Amino acid sequence: MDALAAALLRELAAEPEGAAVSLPRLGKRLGQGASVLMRQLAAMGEAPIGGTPGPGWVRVAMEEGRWVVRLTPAGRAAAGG
Amino acid sequence: MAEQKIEFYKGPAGGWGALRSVTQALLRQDIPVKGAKTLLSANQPDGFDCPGCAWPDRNHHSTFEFCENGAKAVAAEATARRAGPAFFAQHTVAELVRQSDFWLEDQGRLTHPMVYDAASDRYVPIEWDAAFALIARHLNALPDPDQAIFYTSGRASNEAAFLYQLFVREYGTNNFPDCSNMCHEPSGSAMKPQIGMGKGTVTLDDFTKADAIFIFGQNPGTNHPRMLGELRAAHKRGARIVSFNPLRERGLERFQDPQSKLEMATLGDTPISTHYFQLRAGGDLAAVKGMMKHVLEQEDARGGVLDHAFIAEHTIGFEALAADLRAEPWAVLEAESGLTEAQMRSAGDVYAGAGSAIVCWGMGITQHPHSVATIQMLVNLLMLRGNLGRPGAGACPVRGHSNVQGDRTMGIWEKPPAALLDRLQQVFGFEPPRTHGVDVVDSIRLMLEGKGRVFFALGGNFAAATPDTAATWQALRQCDLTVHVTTKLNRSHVVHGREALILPCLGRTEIDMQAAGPQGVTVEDSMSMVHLSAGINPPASEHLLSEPAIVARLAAATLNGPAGRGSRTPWLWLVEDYARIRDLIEQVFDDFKDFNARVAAPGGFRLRNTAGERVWVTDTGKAAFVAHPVPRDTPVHRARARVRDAVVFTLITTRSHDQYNTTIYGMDDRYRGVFGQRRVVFIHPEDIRALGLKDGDWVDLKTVWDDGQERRADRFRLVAYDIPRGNLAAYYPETNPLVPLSATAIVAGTPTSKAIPVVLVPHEETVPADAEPAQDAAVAA
Repeated sequence: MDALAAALLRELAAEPEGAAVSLPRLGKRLGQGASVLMRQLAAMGEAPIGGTPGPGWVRVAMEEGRWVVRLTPAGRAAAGG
Repeated sequence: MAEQKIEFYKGPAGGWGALRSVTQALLRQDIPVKGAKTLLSANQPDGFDCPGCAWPDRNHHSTFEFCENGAKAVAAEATARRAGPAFFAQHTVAELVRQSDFWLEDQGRLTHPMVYDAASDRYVPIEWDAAFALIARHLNALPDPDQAIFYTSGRASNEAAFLYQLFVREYGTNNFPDCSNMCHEPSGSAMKPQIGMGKGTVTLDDFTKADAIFIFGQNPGTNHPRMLGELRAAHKRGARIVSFNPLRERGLERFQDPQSKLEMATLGDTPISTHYFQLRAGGDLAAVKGMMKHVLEQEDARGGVLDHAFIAEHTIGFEALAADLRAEPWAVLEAESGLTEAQMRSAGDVYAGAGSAIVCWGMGITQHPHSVATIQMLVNLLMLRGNLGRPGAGACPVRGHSNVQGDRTMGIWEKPPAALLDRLQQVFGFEPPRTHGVDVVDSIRLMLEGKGRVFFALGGNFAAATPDTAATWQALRQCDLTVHVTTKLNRSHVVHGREALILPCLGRTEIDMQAAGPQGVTVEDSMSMVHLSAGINPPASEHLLSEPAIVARLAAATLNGPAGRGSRTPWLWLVEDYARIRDLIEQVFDDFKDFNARVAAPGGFRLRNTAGERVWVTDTGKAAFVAHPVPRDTPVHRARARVRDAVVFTLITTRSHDQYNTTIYGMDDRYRGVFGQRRVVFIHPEDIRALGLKDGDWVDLKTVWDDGQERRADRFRLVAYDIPRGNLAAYYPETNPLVPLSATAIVAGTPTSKAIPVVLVPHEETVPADAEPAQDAAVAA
């Protein structure tokens, strides 16, 4: 697993189940820009990239004017939680 | 449909109006709107390059917060709408061709490669390999490779463009019409022989140092909104900004910076132009000549105005230019520029008093018959005071499409220099074709003559971007095969050849996954900065291919498939990792030494700019002053001499604010006060009265040309506007039918879409009152 993907899973798994984390907050915690995170999160979502379906570990959504990220059950399992 | 109204726009460019417009654009594409600001701030140093225009980024991480049109471009690409096989099953092409350009693109992202099925008059899905085999079969069946035409849009990345030119030259032709042919071709044609390079010489840093910035024929508020940030900053530190433009444009007057909390909170704004000269369309050469004549007279009177050291050391031709300027009567300059002697002297005083000066120009200069001469006069002006190759000074042709300059750098040129062909031969071991190919206008002629039988377009919307719509559509329809690589449906896909393919590709914002992992591509902006662009969103469909992958697979299918010429280039291996393509680019172009390493740095690197170093790569080793007479025998002059019973106007075709090239994002042109409609013609109030008409009346436009063909565009609403008498402005592509194929710039061949002689007549009810633009064009065709 990519180091950034692993770090993202760790950060998200540390949150209560179902809780959303804002993209800027994740970026600050991991020291990464929004575009880096968006690209990594896209690879961890469901949508196929390069013809390969994603693992569906995260869902990215717009809520009340903020981009937020949630871990799915599959993501929590992948995070070892 | 949105309410149609004409309502004077009181506000500044940018500001809250821009943010509202962005929100509406996002809504229209079914993208959540509350987080627009967050969405727009997603662009970061390692993000994607804005596909909106070719203006550079200062820090390369704040693009969208500033730019309404960039946001619209991204929203259009990131739309939640899809036009897949089900959509095409519901619509025959006969139905689609009757829809407007706006409607076609508004259907959303294409999801599958599609092939035209003549039996059902519908596009139906096709597998990628079958599509490539179909194209290869057509290409390899042609008796002469010069019967194939390969168009390039300025959106194509360096990697795609490099592979494309290599494939096409291995196939055997230099037929590379591109969007440069329709925009800044005259800039290269003028500057290359004059100062040794065809690109601008300035950097963004120069805008922070210039004492004066001259803007000719350019409307940055709509076409390069991020430029307003530089102009605002220049104005605030006291620089003079001198605009020459026929129409009064709000973006050249006042700007409210959406990034300035103070301006947004107080509804304040910053003036842009310190001087605004509304010259007549095509009057720029005369105006610049007047400025230079004044500067020369000041030199004669008091000395110390010209940079004699620069002129002596770096240039040739000064004496001939000076003699020509002295001999030119002010009366001629006034008559042809539409400005008074005092106005030209005033502009000349600003220039003479500026320690450093930048001259910018856009399509308002290039799309005229004498554009090459005019640009050389602009460079003459700069050289009089040594305003090339020093801080705060230089030439700035402002390009439109995001990588149009890079594509030309990569060899997308129908007139390739021998050195490029020699290097391709050396690196790739094949004999490139040496005969020059066709540009846009000549490619249309080639198709009309039946000698252009396969038309392949790497992006763009050829049918809507080109002049003489009736001729262009006939040309495309005569082809054996038309192929379009694209993200969304557009006019060119429904005006097609006997066989036709639509090949959907990844957008700039999307992750491009290849065997070696996610890939980035490179682009070159208007100031020769090359940087990486990498998408952040999942692709709109799992069936999309990247442009480099499409080119590579097509090349392999064509060159190494049945009846192919054979190729030693490892096409499919190259697109596994785009760094391999960049390694090849480095082998062909010396300026790209250590390409992969240099482009990895945040912000990328700048290509060498010889003129910016005062190194003149010309025949003489010097920069050349070039004298040109004031044009007095243009098509407009001739039409006015010929037509005595009607007023001949000069028509300027232009964009609306809700438009990017041929892409129509909406029906408003906010800064000009036009809402919910596009079929308007801007005209001076006195001209309306002189015609016996009134504001709001409907008119038809007819071209005055000398080839006996009727060219008309019907049903335009007169809108009184601050524009010089005798001039009109109206939107393209609606007015493209009025631009004759033979109306081209001298030397450059660029369609002269801002200098078309037309007459106005009251609207004749020959078409339905609710006709869409496409229907009118279809009638014309």
